[in-house]
Amino acid sequence: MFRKAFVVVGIQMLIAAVAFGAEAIDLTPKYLDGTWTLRQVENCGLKEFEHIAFHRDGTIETSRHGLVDALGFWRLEDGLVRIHLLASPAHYSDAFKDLTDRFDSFLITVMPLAVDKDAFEAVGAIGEQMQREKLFRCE
Amino acid sequence: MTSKRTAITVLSAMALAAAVIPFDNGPARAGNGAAFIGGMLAGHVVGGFARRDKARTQADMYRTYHPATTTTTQAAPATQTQAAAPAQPAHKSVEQRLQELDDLAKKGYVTPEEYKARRKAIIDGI
Repeated sequence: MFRKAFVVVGIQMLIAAVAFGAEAIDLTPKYLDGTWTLRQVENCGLKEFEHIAFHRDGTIETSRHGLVDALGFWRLEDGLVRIHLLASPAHYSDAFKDLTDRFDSFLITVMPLAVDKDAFEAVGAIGEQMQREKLFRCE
Repeated sequence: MTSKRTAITVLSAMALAAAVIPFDNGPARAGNGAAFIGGMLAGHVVGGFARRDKARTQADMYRTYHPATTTTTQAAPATQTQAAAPAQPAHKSVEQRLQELDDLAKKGYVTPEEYKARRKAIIDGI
């Protein structure tokens, strides 16, 4: 019962979200091609903010402090961005800093919303983790 | 059919999250700045290790308090016994089980209530 209600509410929210971004630009691989940063375009010049580079050849990399944290492949599918990444846990927590030789693969799904010319809102999910951010295109 | 339903559920959850989850204006991990994908991966990685650790603890506790499983393993054919040997120690004495319980309690894997209950169960089994 709860699950059904959750799905119904979710679909309504999805419709609302899509309608909200209806006037926005089409989401295409060409649109995503390039480097993006978080929260404001000025952060393009700040290395402590994550930079996400979607390459036209279908590869992707995320970096901070000028170092690549994760790399993999991306594709656009039914309005969602599916990202397969390879990363080391050593990159993400000091508790695992010794595991520099260990790499795991991850599948992340990102839902772009309110797609504007050089910015969009992104809701990402991996397992039970969800995060929302606004991404801005860097020149 | 199931995958379609799963996809709808995921989409619904994400749409719901879009409306409910606020923008994260704080750092996604220690230090200045922020990470979107890195933030999710950090949470997933740390959560994954925590889940595995919890599962391992539960498995340890199960082996501690279910010596019958160990006995069955001993009765199995030689090849199976060899395969299970690293994970299944030989039959434990009451003293060993109490010692193991003490160790688990010292490491914080069992609460004082669980400790008392399990200790009583071991002693009652004599």
